[in-house]
Amino acid sequence: MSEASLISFEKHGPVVLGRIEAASVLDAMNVSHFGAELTAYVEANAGVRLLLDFENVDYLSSAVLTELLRINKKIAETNGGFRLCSLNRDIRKVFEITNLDKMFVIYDSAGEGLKKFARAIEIEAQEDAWEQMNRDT
Amino acid sequence: MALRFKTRLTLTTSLLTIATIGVMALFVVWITVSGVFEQHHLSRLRMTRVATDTVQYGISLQDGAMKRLSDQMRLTTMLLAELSDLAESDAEGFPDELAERLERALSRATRPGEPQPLSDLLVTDAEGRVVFGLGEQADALRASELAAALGLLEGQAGEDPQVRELRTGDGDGRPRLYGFVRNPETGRIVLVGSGEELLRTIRREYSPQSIVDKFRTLLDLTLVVIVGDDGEILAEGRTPDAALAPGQLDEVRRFCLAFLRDGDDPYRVASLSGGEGAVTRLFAPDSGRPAALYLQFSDATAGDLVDRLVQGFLVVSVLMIAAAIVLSIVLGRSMSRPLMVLEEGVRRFGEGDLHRRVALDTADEFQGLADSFNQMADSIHRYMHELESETRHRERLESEMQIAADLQRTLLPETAPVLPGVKVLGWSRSAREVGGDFYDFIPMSDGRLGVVIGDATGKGLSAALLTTECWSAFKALAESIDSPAELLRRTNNAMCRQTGATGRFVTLFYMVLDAENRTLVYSVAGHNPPFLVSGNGGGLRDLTSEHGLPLGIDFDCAFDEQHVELAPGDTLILYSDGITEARHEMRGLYGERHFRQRVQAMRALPIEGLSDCIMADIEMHLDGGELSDDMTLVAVRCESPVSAAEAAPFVHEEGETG
Repeated sequence: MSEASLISFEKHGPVVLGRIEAASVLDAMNVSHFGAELTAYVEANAGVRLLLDFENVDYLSSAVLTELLRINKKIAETNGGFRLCSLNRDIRKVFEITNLDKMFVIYDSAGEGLKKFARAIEIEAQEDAWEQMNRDT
Repeated sequence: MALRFKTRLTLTTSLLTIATIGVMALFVVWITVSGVFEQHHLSRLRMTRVATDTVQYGISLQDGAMKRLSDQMRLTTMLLAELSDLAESDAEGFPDELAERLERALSRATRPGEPQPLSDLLVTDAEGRVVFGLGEQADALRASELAAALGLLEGQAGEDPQVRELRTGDGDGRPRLYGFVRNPETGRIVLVGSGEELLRTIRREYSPQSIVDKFRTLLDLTLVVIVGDDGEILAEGRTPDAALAPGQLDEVRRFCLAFLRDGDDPYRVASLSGGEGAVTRLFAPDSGRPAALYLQFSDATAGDLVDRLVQGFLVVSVLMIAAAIVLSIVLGRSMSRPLMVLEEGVRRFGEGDLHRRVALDTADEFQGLADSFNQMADSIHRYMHELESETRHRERLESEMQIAADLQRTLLPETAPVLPGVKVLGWSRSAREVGGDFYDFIPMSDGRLGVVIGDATGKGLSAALLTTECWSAFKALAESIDSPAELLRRTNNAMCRQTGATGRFVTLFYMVLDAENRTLVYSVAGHNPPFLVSGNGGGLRDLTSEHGLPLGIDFDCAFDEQHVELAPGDTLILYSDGITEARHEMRGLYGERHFRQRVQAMRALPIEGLSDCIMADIEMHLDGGELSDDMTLVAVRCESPVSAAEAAPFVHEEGETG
């Protein structure tokens, strides 16, 4: 029910770190609130490279997975990037069980995530430039 | 005691009005009564003064008591003034001037067609020598009347240096009116003798009875009496209702005679049996003889007046108080009417008449209150209306949900299939009317059994719809496809076409069980891996899979197929995460670890008992708390050939799913 923000967004270079503030994203109202907040952010920031931080999250409703899948699709459509980090054991297990860990890039910590995500973006850019150069020649 | 507002208002208004009227009445009564006494007092003073004046002139010329003096009388007065003036003038030319002025005055005073009022004018000096005479009888006057007049004047000489006086007398057997003026400085005395005409008029106008009547009416006296010096009552008058006490007149007569005999006082005040009175000297106008005028003012008059006034005020006060009460009631009613209207409106509204509004046009606080009430009533009415339609809507929805729930229940298998050597059962319980979990047994033509368990994301209606979608696709495809992996791949593709980019998905586990050979082949689409509890030692084994996203996420994704061999006593548990995630507010999650331990511990029980125990255990964990997700469990027990014959088919269905 709470209208308080569930996620805070911080810009770290090319990557935006979205930190989930709520300890559990459990009930239906929370999940839809969570989804709406993420969607609104993604729609307002096309092509965003978003690293979603689960550091504060103890428990996750499986309905959240739906939201993550949807956001993933949305970001992919705008040529952005969506990765996850700091999943605790239980949450990680949910991803593993559903095999969704193979769909998402998941880092152990926000620090690692930010570094590697930024690096990946860099490489991507270089590859794009290379490809462009190849096409030009 | 709590009085109603209307009563209080009426009482207050009444009391205020009555108090005001009472105070006013008391004040008026006081003023009047004191006024009456004042008047009484004044009347007595005036009476005394009248008595004093009467001593001087016989008939008062002042105080308005004798206002209707005839022209002759006024003329006489005028003559007196002229005479007085002449008496003061110097001696030279006196007689001539006097004659001129008197003639002038006479002609001025005489009305046309009437005889000259005065005749026989005579002026003497102090020694009695006539210095002037006028009229045919001047000579006749001289001898006798002059002496009498001078004698009369003597009595006054010492008191007033200048005497002006009118007297009647009987000179020479003829009635006379004399006017005297004496000037002590010049020693001059002027004497005027008047004619019969004047005297006749005076007698007519001022008979004893007319004097009595005038005094009585003018001063509101109860009794006026004129008593002659011989004791005869010359005239008597009294108020019509004043009864004389026996002997009262006699008393008055005696008092008057005593006063006349004593002769010195100008007046005397007495308290007689009839009331207070005053007596004064008077010359009987007709005879010129001394007489006494007795005036009596009754105290009873004042008392009566007070009584009458008090009575009058009492009557008026009572009438006014009655009027005030009536007025207060009317006023109170009109003032409290808006309140009554409001009260009735609110009460009727409260009783359920939601169309009830209050119509007031008083342009005051009451109208403000009424307007606010009407607004509130409008809001409540609207709200009630919305609530009603919403309730209807919800009821319809609930009944539709009920239909959906019934429909969904028909999708679940009614009975568990009977297989040689293998016992299966399943149950499902939804968190809502309809759920996202499902399971099914699909018997195959070659005797094998397909067992499927699925869980759509979310719960309630959206999950149920997704479930139905997935299920129908799955069942349609299952008829023609043998391989679990292929079946899942095709179902996934069908689902992906349906779900699009919604992110909704269904986790699913599907296995084909060959009871005869105690083998099974399975595929997983992101579902919780079922676990196998060994009948021999209770070892656990998860039925996992390397690949296999949930259905509806990724088009054309690949699924693995795994083969498992079963041993007698093995128990296979398929479940949805609603079980392991059954959450109690204090105790937290039921938990996978706990769940597995329970199953392990009860692995020796028949699967019906095992399933019942698990269900009871979860119930205990929830402790009446709300179910957060649908729970589904399918158990497969591989039995020894002996016990296989006893296998009985049954299905447990629990909770809201019935």
